[in-house]
Amino acid sequence: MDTLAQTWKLWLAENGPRLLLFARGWSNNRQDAEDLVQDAILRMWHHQADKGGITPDLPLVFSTIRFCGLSHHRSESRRRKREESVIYLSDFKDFWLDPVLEEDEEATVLREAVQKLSQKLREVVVMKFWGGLTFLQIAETLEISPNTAASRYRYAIQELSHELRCIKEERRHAN
Amino acid sequence: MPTDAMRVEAVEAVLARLMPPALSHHRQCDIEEMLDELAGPVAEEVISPAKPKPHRGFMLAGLAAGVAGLLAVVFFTGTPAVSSLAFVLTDESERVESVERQEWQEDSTGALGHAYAVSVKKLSHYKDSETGISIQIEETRRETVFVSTPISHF
Repeated sequence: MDTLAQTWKLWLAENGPRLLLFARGWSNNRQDAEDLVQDAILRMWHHQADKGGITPDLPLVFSTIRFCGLSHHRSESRRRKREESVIYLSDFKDFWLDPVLEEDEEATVLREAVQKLSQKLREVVVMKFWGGLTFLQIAETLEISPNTAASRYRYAIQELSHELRCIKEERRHAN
Repeated sequence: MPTDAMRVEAVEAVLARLMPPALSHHRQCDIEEMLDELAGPVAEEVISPAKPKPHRGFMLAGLAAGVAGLLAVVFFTGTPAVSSLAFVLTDESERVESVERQEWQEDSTGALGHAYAVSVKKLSHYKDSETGISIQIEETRRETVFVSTPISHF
């Protein structure tokens, strides 16, 4: 018999990766992103208590991660202003996405392109593609119109498409 | 020449070959522990069968039967016969809820006076010393009080 905690664990196992991916857009590294996910789940638990403790809908969780990310970003900005002398190094091997196939050059390039997208475009792509949300749900999460959500997705795909074309041209020149 | 739709499909095909990584094992365990802690007391309450307390069951059944009997007696006779039950009268009080002045009336001696309709509420508190459960019975009754006016002159 499933307990409430087990139900949530199953839900976490299913949705953890997509939540983590979305959280990456609101954090500096993987650990911070995992902090955001945990924080959001804790908030969701209390929020859902009034509804019998059922697992939350994904749009609501994305929205909560975004809220937590914004709060974290504000405190992080203040902290950075206090510690301007510290040099932060990026971990270039810390990717947000993993290729399913080995040596998939196109996928490898596109994952970097996804990370380089502006935040507005990237979060729509993440929610649409890996989150499985509709444009209406994305619009509610980001508090924008569904048309804007669809436009952002289209712009993002155009940018990624441009990156993909560049790779193919480079290959052609190399051959 | 590829169309926009074809380009979108091409990009989405590549994106489909990218998967978000799972949470780290350490973090997964952390969150699962957190969920266990959050659900702990509730889960215990829901899952663990209540310890067998046969006496408590009998007591509650007896109490329910006692209260039902008491209410039946009060309802049908108007007199609470609590002495046969475990409930003991601990407090009793009456208070006037409302007083309504009515028209002039004559009593049986021919004296003229005012009639007052009085609503009285009687509160009786009973307690069962074994279970510690107390009940309160409210009785509301209406009385007519005749106040004669003394004749001072003819």
